[in-house]
Amino acid sequence: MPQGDYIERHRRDYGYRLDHFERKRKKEARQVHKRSSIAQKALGIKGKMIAKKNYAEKAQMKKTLAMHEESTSRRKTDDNVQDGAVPAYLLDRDNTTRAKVLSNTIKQKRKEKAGKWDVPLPKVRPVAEDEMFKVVRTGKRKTKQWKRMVTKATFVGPGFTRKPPKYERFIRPTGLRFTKAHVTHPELKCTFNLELIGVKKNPNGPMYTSLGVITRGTIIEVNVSELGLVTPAGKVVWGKYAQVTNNPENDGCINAVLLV
Amino acid sequence: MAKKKEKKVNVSGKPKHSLDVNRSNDAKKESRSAATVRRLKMYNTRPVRDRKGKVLSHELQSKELPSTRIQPDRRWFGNTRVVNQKELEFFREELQSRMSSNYNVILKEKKLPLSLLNDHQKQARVHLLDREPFQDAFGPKTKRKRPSLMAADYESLLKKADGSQDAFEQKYGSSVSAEANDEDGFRDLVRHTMFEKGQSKRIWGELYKVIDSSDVVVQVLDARDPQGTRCYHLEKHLKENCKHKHMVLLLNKCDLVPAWATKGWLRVLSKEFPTLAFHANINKSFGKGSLLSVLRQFARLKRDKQAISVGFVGYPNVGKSSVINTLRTKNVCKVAPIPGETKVWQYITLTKRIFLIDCPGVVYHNNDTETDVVLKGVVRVTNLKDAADHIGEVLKRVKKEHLERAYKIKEWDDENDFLLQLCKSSGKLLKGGEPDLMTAAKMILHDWQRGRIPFFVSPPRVEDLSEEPNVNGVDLDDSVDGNEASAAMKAIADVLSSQQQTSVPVQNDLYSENELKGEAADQYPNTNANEDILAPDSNTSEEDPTNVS
Repeated sequence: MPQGDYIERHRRDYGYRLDHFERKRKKEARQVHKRSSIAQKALGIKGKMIAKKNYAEKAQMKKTLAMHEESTSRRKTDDNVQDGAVPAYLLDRDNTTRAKVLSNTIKQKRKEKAGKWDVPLPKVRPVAEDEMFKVVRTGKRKTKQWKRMVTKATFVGPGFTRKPPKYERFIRPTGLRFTKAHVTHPELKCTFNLELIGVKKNPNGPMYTSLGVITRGTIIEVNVSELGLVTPAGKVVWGKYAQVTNNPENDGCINAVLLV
Repeated sequence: MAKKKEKKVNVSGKPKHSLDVNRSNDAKKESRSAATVRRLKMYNTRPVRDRKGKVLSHELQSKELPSTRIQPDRRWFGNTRVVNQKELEFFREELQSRMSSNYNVILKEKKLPLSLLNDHQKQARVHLLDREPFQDAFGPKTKRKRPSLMAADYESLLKKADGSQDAFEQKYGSSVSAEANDEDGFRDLVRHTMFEKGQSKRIWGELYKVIDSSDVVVQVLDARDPQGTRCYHLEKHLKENCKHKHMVLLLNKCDLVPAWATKGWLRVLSKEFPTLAFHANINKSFGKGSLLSVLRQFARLKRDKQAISVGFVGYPNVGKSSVINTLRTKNVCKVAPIPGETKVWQYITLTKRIFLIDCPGVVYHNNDTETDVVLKGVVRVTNLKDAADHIGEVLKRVKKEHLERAYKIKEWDDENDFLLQLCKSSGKLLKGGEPDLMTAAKMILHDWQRGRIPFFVSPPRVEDLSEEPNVNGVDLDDSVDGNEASAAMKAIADVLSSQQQTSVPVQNDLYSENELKGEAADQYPNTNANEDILAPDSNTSEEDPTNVS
């Protein structure tokens, strides 16, 4: 017979030790500190596993507490109903407060709002500075290292002229400049070759936006005159945003989805 | 992270040393501004390394990954640019009247819906239903039994093909002679690589770099042959792809041609681009004030920019570097009377707001013969191995009296006889008294390139003999010009007009009195007193364009 069974039989026959329950209570009280100490001292993969388990337990506890708090809003009303205030065929129904219904409505609206105004690619792979720029060494002995060559696709606009060499820090190669993009209308399911107007937002940072760098996920402004869009007031639309969906520096063209 | 602010240790505004950024931006002081000091310190940025040489940090070369989340926003999904129908009509009318001339400028093209104003050719539809309606081919009332082809059977297809072949042969008659040459078993000789000067990939890379960095492109032409030294491909490229850049033509070496020829060319070329005459000499120059005025007006036109750059482009050996030296009144670019001295682009400061860019000479690939290439001055004469072959063309283009005066030779039968006499008179003899034709021919070509033998191409005759300057598209009404841009363009037109009125200096020893008045005499053919002088002048002036073409 296993050892636990012997202990169990002994306790059944002769009773517990006199301070058993007090020692058990104290041990459970100290367990919290012991587990905290273990969680702080554990290293490596063991520490990661312990942290993950603790996080799951804590999240579950919070959900349970929230559930209990939520259920208090559905309490039955105890106040007395005056005679004649409720029709006779509704007297059997228990009254419930509307807090739950309101919270449901608010949650639904928030979910709708979040999903509706999301761009097709809300998060893309980040590009570090050493990948974006290449050091250009200038001077007679190639010791000047303050110039940078942009290695991604760029848009410079119609009125662009390069700065004098002593003032130009960021060089945008002409071979990587683009003036057009293949823009797909998501509802019409057709693709147009539209002209670029500007670069609105580069997700990697505002410096790249001002430089006109186009990477994956960039919000660009395109000329939609060919689509023939008009506003309800009768005006002609010729500018709209689109988001880049490919890597232009690898593919040699810009593919984008129109944001409608 | 790229624009980190330096920590403010010294907050009093007084710099401790010359590279201290904490200084006031007071314009009254003659010291450097904070932006200038920041830029000077940027020149010395280096990667920071540890003791073993490993790079710890380098500016703008960080490996840190940024956050790439795009916030949901309803403004992504709206319209960014909207235009009214009335505004569209207004823009279209204004654009039609203004863009036809080369003297008007659109300052901010980005704000205009240009694609709505112009109709693209690719938007023309294929008119299938106009050719044959739908109900004629399908449905109960169909009329078409067979598809309509170009030819019904094989024989009519043969006849149609023969007709197309005959039409093609009539249209391109020169290709028939080329085919005849192929039938004889002869081919064109492969050209020497020296005749491809100015057409290499490196040279055109330098040209496009200069154009990319220039706000104003000054194309320098040789006044002796303006149309031959133009680069039409470059002008077309600027008109199509770089509308915001301005092109100015500069007739250099105007002292080597008569004044009436210079004025005629100014009149002709001013119809296309602003054109100035120029004589590039540091001490005695002509047109320097006009060119400086025009460049200052362009700098005023682009006042929103801190500085403008002016690129000097053109054929080899037209004097681009000499023009820049004249503007600077000292030797800042290396110059030489041979083509190909400038090899890379050079950046020169003219004023605080105007930079000049020198460009090596570029030649667009066209159908010029080797003699045309040599006589334009593209090739270095010392490298020619068959210089005597080009002397015949020189003798045809230059008048006899100029050759007599230059080489003291009175009579000759052909170019070979001319070379023989020149060898004897100048002593260019080989062993045994054999005449050295190669050296004599090179001497003549050198004199031709450097202007010692006078030669010019006459401007095309203008039927309108009015002396008013032709500056297109500029309204002379002062009350209308409320815009500063139009004021700047009007000032440029005034500079051009005043230069056309001014007398152009010519070198004294080059031309005789009759040639200097040749154009004036040609304009009055009814005068009998000048009839004897007219005949040789008109014959010579008529021959020159034919030879050039």
